[in-house]
Amino acid sequence: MNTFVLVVDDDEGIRESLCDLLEDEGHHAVGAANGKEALDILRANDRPCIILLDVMMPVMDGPAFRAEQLKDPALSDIPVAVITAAGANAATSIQPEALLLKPVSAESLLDVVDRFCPRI
Amino acid sequence: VKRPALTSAAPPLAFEQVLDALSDPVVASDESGKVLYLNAAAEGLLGWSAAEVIGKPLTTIMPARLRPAHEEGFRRFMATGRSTIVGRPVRVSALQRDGSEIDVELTLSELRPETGRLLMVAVIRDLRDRVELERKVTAQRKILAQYATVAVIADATDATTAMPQLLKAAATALDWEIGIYWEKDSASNQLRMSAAWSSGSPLVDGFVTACRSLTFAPGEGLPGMVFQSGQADWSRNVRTDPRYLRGRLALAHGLCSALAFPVYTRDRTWGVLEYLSKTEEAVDDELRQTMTVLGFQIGQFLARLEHEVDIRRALARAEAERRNLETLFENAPAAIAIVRGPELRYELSNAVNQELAGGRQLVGKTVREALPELEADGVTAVVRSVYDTGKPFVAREYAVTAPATDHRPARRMFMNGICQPLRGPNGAIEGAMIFAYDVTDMVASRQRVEEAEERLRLALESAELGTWDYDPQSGAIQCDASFRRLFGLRPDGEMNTKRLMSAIRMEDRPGVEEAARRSFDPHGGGGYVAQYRTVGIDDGVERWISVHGRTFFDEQGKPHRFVGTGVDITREKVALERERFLAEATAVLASSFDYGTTVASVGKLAVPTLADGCAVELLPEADEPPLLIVEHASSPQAERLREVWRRSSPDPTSPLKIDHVVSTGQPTFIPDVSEQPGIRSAMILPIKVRDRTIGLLGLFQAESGRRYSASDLTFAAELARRTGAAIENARLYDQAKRAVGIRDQFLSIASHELRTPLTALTFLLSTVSKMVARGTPATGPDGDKLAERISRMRDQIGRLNTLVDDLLNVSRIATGRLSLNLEPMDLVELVKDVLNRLNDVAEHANSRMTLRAPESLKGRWDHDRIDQVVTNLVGNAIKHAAGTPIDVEVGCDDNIARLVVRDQGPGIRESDQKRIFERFERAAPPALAGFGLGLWLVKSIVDAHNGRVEVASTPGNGARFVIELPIDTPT
Repeated sequence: MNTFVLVVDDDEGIRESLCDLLEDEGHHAVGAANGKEALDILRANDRPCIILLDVMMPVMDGPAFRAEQLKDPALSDIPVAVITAAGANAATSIQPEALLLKPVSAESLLDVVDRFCPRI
Repeated sequence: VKRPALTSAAPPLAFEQVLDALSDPVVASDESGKVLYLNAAAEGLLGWSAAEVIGKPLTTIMPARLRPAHEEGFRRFMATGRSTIVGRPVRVSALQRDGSEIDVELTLSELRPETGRLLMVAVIRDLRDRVELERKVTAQRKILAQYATVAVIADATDATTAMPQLLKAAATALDWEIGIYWEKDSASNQLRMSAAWSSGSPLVDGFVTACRSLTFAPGEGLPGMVFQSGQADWSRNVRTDPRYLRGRLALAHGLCSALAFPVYTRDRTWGVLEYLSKTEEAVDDELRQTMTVLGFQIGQFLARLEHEVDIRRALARAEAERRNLETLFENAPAAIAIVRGPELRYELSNAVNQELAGGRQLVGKTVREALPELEADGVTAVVRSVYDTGKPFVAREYAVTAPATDHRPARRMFMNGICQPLRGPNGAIEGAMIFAYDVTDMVASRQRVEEAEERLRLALESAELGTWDYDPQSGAIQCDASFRRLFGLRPDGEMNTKRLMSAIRMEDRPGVEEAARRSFDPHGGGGYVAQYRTVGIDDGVERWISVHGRTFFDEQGKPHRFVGTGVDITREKVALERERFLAEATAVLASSFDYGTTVASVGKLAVPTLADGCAVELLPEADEPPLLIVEHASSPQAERLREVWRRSSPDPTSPLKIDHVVSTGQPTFIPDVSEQPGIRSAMILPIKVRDRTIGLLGLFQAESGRRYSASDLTFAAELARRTGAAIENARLYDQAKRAVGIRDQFLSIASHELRTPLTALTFLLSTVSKMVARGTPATGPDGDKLAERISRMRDQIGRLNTLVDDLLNVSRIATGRLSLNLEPMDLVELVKDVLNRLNDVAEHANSRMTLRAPESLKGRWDHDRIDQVVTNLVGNAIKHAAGTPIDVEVGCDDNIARLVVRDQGPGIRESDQKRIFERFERAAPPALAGFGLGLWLVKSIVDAHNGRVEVASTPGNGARFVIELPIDTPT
């Protein structure tokens, strides 16, 4: 049983509301404000069942984070779902397992999370 | 303790024993209001012992605030026998012995036992449990009301349909019968019903109908009072409340309690919401607070709608601008098309492109579906390769097939143009723009050159031939009159080979001599063919002649006779030369998409073929600087010509009448220029784009002695026309490229920015609605969580509002509606206010702000606009230079106030320093979001104050923004 979800988004409003949504559904959600924070969390914690990733962020953006993630054998197979307002093209270089375009409905987001994080 | 008897004089009565045994508390009093009896249950409930209260006034067991009403009612009952409470249950508060109050329900009856003394007996019920239960229900309802209101607001798009829904949402949640929105009418300054909801019973509906015709002035009635005070207020029983002007109306319709609260935003009260119920309702402070919050939320909603109306107008204007752009595309003399996506789907196709496509429907279809013919021409592959590789493709005389239509067959066309990739904000290719124009006529004119050559050949055969017969050994020559005319010789003029040779143009002589030498070569065939120019010996006229001849040899192989014919081909030759020139001109003009290069090539074309000197001037346009290019074989002459042009240009008395050409769009043609030294003959032609004169083409003859003829003017006009078309194409291409780029970039930024708060709102709404559906209680940690989430929803709505305000400012300024509200104000005070307001943000970003300023600096400015300027500059410094100190300085020189905001952040590259003041531009990476409007707004506001804004920055060393404002802004 693994219901740890990592939320990476520079917008505090989205990060917090997304974590609330996931927590209410029984997941354990942790937020990171950029790719670098996300890597720090990944290296210090348990393995999440999915990473929800924004594309445009300061310090380290989505594509740069994905590159780092793929370089690290311990992290490379964690599935990534991209959540972006910048259109489908923005995620081409990331090659995510799932793509959600903002504004995304809570249902479709939870569908994706449920797909990768089965609860027992 | 022996309980005293109900009647001290008589033994205990039978029913007294009954009362003693009752489990309900009972209290009885005599007609003077003194307590006579208290049963054990009452002792237990109230904590008083019978001994303590018997003989004391009933008011002893009542809270002090109820005592006057009790005494008044009791007295009235004793005097008249009328009472509002006897015989039915009433809810009151009772005072316990320890001073605390409890809610009880009492049923009062009068008894007249045998003694004949009147007894008032109250049976009491403890309501504490019920009150607690009701309190919980009410709290739940309040949350429900708030949630329902937020839900309506989140979905609503206009006030007319939303207000009844909002009234219903709160009314059903709180169990009220009627909700009325009293809106302030700005014309009459009266409150008037603008929306209402009722539970639907006909009786209650009657009240709403009656209210429809009523108005309240501020301060008048419950709605008016609430409007004036801005505070929620209620009337527990409107039938008896003198402040409630519709008491009788309410009574007639079975209504009892009313609650009213203002709908307001920070700076404005919009109206009053009034709710009525059939039963008597208590209103506590908590409900009042909830309603105040609801009133604020609805007020913000109304404000947002008002903004949205402005936004819709702004969008309509944006739409109009887009239509203008489309009109530009539509009317362009070039074909313009935009395709998007990997399937290359048409998004735009202008009129010329439609015409090329044979009028087929293109938009919405892919290139492959719409124009399968283009596959064979390779066009589809070209566009695909531009989309795939991002490399633009430049087409020169590219052959395409225009499909057949009902009116014309398929035709072969030649196009010049460019196909270039369209990129999204992140640099990815999203489509391609095709810009092409028809050069079929250019290719055709080259074909006409070939045809003209053919015609020339025919002319030769049919024209009147001159003949010669020359004896190379004696040097004697015989010619007829026609041949003499070819050399401009009078029939009786002296003629010999030397004289004839001297009439041939110097530059053509070597060719003639070479042809003759070959003809005299006995090893050759003796044939002689030549074309050359002569300048008439007697008449000075220049002619083109064509000769055909043959040399005959004697037995020793020496030439002994050279005979042949000659013909005047001047007309055909000139026509051919011109055709060739124009074909070359069109090719050269079309070879560049940069109009500066295009203009320069016109001069190079004209000199020396068409003129000794040439001037091309482009008149200043809205966003293009004027341009003057002068071409001459020698540079000192070119300088002289430039000077003549400059001086003549604005001078209406100048013989060149340049001014006249600009104002009338008609050419000037001066075959003989006498008043202008250095110029012999001149033509000035307008360069036009769709009937508008955008420039001038001046052609001059000087040292060559040539003189312009009427046919030269026609020819030059054609050159000017082609120049105009080439310049227009170059400009149009540039504009189209820019317009598409700006539009796409802005749309993507705006949608990204608006989607972010919307996404957060979506998530919050989902969690809140689930909590409410689960019946989350209002209190305790879950209740706090619910309240916190609702407050965060409010923050996101605020964020949307700010973005909308930004867009609004753009449209106001862009349409010239930025009007200043100038008033005397203190700049130092304003800057202090702004710094205070931003203090939290700065601390959060770890930036320390310091202010250096005099005590005060007074001037006349628009306070709110200058506040926006300062907020933007300081806010930018905090955002872009987080973690470094920010210095703000206010000062004054003579009549100029100066504000300096300096940070020590990453700075701004020199190439970006001008650009950042443009609309939608920003120097920072996209992650530091916003519409990119802040500095543009700053500049617009400062400009409107006749001030100046400057930035100085070296990358890595921070940025320094300086604003200068005249102390007294002229109106």
